[in-house]
Amino acid sequence: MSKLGAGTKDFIIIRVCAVLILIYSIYLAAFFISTEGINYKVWSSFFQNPINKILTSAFFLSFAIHTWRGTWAVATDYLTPKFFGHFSKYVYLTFRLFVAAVIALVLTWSFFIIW
Amino acid sequence: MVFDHLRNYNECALNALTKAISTRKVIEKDNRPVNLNLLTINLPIIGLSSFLHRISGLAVFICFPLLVWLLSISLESEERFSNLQNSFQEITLFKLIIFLLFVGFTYHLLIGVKKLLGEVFGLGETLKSGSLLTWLFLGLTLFISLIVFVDIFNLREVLFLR
Repeated sequence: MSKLGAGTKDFIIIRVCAVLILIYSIYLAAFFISTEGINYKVWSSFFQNPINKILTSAFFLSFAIHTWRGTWAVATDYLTPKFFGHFSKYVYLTFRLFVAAVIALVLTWSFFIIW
Repeated sequence: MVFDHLRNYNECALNALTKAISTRKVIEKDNRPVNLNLLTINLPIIGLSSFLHRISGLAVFICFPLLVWLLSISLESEERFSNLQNSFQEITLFKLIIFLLFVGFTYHLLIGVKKLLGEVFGLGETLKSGSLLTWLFLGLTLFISLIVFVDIFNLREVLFLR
């Protein structure tokens, strides 16, 4: 892994996180399909299960890493001088700051909900 | 296939560059026209779905705090859970927003799977097979969305009983 370039590492990390998100989504979908008439008891006991707590935390962590890299790819493609001229630097930085704030909010909030 | 070259990626890029220079493919000044108006480009379905993959990803990302908020309400207490359940059943706009988020997320997931199939197994890397695979996954997205639509808006009775 240490011999790989930064771009290759990003490439692999974003896809590993994507697969983790996919697995968790299928898991959650299976829970919804298999449970008839979801009530508070079933719902809260699902999130009190230690295994589900770990899986949900892993999902939110993957979400954070995946979206941080994904929005970077979008931002470096479109928030450029070609579209925004001199202001592109500030547009880019504002967008990255906004993304960082959303990720920080989601991560801390979900942490307090789960644990 | 991308994973073939991971170990000697830099070497491959360098070789390609030296080859291009030695065969004079690189000209001194690049005079190729730049066309960024997407409406004038005849974009194949593969490219269009890839573009929508980004849009849907961004949209779901921006709306994600809403889902965390709903999760926090649902796990707070039994009363708030049933309040949430009732407002979901009563407010159509609430249902619609959740449904649209679901469609965006499912679309992003499935087109992501399609992209991974290309990267790992080399599936759908020609224009023909790529278009076919894209239509397949678009159809799958539509199919799943329709099932969830019928379920969320309680249309099962309307459609099947009678």
